[in-house]
Amino acid sequence: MRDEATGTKGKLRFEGVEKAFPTKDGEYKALAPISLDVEERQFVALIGPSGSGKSTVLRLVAGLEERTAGEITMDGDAIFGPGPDRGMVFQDHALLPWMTVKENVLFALDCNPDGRDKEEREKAASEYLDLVHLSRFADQKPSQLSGGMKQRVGLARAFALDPRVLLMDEPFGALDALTRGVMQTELLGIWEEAAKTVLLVTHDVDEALLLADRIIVLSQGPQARIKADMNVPFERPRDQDEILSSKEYPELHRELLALLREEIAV
Amino acid sequence: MTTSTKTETTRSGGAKAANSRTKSSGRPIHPAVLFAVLLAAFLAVWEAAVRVGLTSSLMPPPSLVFTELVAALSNPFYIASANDAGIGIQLGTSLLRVLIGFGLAMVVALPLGVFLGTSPNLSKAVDPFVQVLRPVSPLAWLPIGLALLRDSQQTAIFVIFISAIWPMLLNTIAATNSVPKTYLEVARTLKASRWTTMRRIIIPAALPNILTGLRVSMGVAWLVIIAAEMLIGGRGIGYFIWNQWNNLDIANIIVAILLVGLVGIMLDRAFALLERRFAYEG
Ligand SMILES: Nc1ncnc2c1ncn2[C@@H]1O[C@H](COP(=O)(O)OP(=O)(O)O)[C@@H](O)[C@H]1O
Ligand SMILES: [Mg+2]
Repeated sequence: MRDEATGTKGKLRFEGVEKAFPTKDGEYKALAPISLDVEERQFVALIGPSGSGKSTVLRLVAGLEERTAGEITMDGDAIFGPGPDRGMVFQDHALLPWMTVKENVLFALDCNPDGRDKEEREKAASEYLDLVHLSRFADQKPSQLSGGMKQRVGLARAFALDPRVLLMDEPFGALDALTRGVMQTELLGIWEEAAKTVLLVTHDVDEALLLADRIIVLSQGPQARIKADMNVPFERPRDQDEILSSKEYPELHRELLALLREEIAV
Repeated sequence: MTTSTKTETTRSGGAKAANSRTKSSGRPIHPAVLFAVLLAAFLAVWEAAVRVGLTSSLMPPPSLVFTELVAALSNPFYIASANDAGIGIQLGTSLLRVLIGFGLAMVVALPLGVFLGTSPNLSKAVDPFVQVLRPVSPLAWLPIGLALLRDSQQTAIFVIFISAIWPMLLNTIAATNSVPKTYLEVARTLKASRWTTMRRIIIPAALPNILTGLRVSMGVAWLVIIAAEMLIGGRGIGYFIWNQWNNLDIANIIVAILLVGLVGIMLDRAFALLERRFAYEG
């Protein structure tokens, strides 16, 4: 991949990161100073009560929001503004409805040609659609696809720029349980191949345990902080059935739920 | 933007109501058949009223209107003198004025609207101007057009320009202003340039509403041209109607009204097609 030359692959560092939003009744301090190191190629799940600032963390890394204090670096360089080295999968898929499925993926490549001509970009777009098994739907409009398929296009679009870090904000939150399961398995497969750093926001404890190497639990805002930082011990490549039937699973599941419940109980 | 959709909904709503009514009575009548029956009844009553002498002597029977219509359409494009020309020439002249005025309005309103729509503060600053000027009848601008341009032809176009500009400007501002934030964030995360964002995100996202504005503008322009031409004179379907009134030729006025209506429908349908072409399901 492109970044192999520099030897870095999406190491993220948060140092005393704060974010305050201006509101009508003064500042809302969403995040307390947060410090966190994410290893390259690590899959990190962010979990926490709604309003705890999970999306904010992601948007700070994406460069869609500016931190009010502290520093976020990727492979040593401070993050300022968005860039193609960080791919975003939006919660509501955010596909452009006037473009076909393929054009949506191609659009990412057109914005970042990186020396590739039109033909090469077309080819790349087709390959990424293939990766998410949507080649057959290349010429359809997003409105003709199911929710799971739309989210797969979103995934293909994010992967198409071969980012060092993949940011996913509750990507499967709106899907039914069955589709979600399929999507999780698919993501697992793609990620284990590509091995990128991932920040995944989820409210689903099972999803976090199945996918992540590490789970960060955020506390209720304002001034949300990291309440727990947990390693997920399961071997890779992972198998959902094996994980569910492992002896650690129920304990981890219980622990996470207890942590979340503490935050939600007011 | 609301005017056209409103008529649209009432029309289909009315048709639905008629359907359910006929269904419940157990004898479904096709709307086209019903239309033919209503038209025939209307024409019969009209013809009878004129023959019996219930109307003013100026009122022509529908049969005469039909004869005049056939006559007008049999030679629509003749030009005898400045004012004496075929109905096709008259309509074409009006249409050309409308298209020029409308086109000029587009050249100003679309870029301005996109610009204002993407700069919320500026668009708020401009809003009072628009709010004050928009409700003014375009005909009130006619003397100003004459004073500015000192030419009746150009003034007609100026009046069309003024009347067409508001709906398209307001719709373009609103449409670009309400492009969903996530689409713009997609552009930002992909590092799309300003120009790419404009061309591939903002414009296609706003286009359906912009086209609705154009459609409303065209409707207004086609309404206004008749009145403007009546005041300005010369060639054109508006002055043609006025002239027929001076000749007390009501049959030809009715012919003109019918054709003005048909051209209006065609213009509206053309924009409706465009709207459908660029619509998307978000
Ligand atoms: N643009 C904004 N302006 C004001 N407050 C915001 C803004 N974005 C987020 N917030 C606030 O910051 C807090 C964290 O939001 P968010 O990161 O979306 O939470 P989560 O994704 O965990 O549900 C919430 O209380 C939210 O209301
Ligand atoms: Mg969120």
